Amino acid sequence: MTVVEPRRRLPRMPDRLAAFGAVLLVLIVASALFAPWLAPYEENDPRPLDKLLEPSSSHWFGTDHVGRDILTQILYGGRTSLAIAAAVLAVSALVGVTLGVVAGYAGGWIRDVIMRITDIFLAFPALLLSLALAVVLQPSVTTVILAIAVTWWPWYARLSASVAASVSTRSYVDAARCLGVPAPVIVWRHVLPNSITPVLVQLSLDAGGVILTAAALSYLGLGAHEPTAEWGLMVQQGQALFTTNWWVVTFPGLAILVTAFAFNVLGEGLRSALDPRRTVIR
Amino acid sequence: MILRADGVTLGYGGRPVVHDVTLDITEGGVGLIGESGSGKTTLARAFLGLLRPMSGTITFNGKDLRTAGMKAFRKAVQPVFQAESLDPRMSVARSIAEGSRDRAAVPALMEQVGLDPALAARRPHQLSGGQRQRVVIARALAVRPELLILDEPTSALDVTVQARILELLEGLDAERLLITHNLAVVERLCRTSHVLFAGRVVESGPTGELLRRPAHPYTLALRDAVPRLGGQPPVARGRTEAAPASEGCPFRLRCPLAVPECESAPEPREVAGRKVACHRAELVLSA
Repeated sequence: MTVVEPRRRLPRMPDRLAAFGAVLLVLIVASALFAPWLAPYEENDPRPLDKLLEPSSSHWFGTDHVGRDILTQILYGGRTSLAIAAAVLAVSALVGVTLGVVAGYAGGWIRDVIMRITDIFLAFPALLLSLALAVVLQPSVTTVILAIAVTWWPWYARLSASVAASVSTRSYVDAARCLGVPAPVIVWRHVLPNSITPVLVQLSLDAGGVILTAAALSYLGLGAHEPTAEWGLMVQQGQALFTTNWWVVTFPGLAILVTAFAFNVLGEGLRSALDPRRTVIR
Repeated sequence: MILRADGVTLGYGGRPVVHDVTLDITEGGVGLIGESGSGKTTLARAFLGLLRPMSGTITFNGKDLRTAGMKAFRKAVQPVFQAESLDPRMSVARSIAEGSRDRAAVPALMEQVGLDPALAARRPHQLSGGQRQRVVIARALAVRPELLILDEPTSALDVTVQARILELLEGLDAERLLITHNLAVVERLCRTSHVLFAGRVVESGPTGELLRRPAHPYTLALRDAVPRLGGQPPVARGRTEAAPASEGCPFRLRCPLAVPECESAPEPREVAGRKVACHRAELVLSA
């Protein structure tokens, strides 16, 4: 018998959109990583004589109230904002998915205890809890990461628990139990991989939200502070100038918007791309 | 006898769905017949050690399953679920080798169940229903079980594929407990059968005899509801939509032969070489 090898389907419309999101994201990340080579000026290089210059050929995005080049600040600020997003999502997902998958698989009192703890965290409005934590701790990038992660992980725990509980009832999990596979191995081999797709999609959808929340905290003076370049902080510093010097707020705001959009589009694409049933035989 | 259920009551969340079942899994194949919701799969899960009885005991080679060594039990008793019971993310080879952890044995196992070893790298959705079912069988055989618990192994397959899978199952060394609503499959694979209705065994006996001359009106209704080619159209006996009665004979609200006596629960008794839980068994036999 000749075995015909499976082939991947041609990309469909959502995939192309996801690819666009991915390319955009790669460009954003690369521009942040290579900021020292791409930026036309030094980071945090105030030139009082050049303050609040309009966008021009020498300052594409103009300059801010102390004469720093806004394009340069955006490129360096991307490093902070993306690092915050990555750290928050990594911490939240690690804590949330671990607890959620254990709760979903184990069920019974273990699930009840984990889910009640989750409920306690969910009972507080996220931004309010973040604000409270940020006030208690010293304003810094680390504070922002901790404050947002504390309010973000319960959502992953709840999502993972519900998916894992459903996966745990599948007959391949029963078959593995009957084969004597230990519970931690079943969770690692069957439950986690089959529960992770919605979490990955949610992570990519949330990345934009984390950047916006981090920006909000910085905007309120509770996150990054001078001289750290950060998009939210840039918006905060430029808000009073919006009516007279629009570029000071607009370009950092656009950077947040475009990054959030790229993550969202990528998340939508991941939803279909991670479906294991997408490979067909021709 | 490998497995025995003795007065076993099973349920979920404290609510019993299988009541006081006593049966042995003996040589020659044992069938559990009944409609959806009759408790067949619940009983199978208990036999697989996946569900603890609310009362009664399940013994494995004479030892209570709660105290028996689970390692030996897991090797001896394996399920064969439906073709959809494969992890969609795992290749055929990984699925088959999951219990034995012996990847080298995978090609031989695949050949044993009639699969081309070249399919080893495929994932379940890249296989046909029949191929998937063979993978499920190979996964169970990998640990060389003494008993296979077959839960509707052919119900999702078309008739030609079904025939080939039945041939394969017939040729296996292991003993089998077959759970199905397909009477033809039970007749072919099982020497003894038990008919379940509403979580109770209503009739037990040699499969051929039980299907040729049912002694319980429910077995008769099941048999007559089977579609046949070119023959009599299937007959729906009694009020098939009626829910099981909570007191007395659970079948009485559907039974066309029910009498006031059926308001008391019938005890299983010996009638014409089988055990029947019916006050009207003699009447059914003579019909």
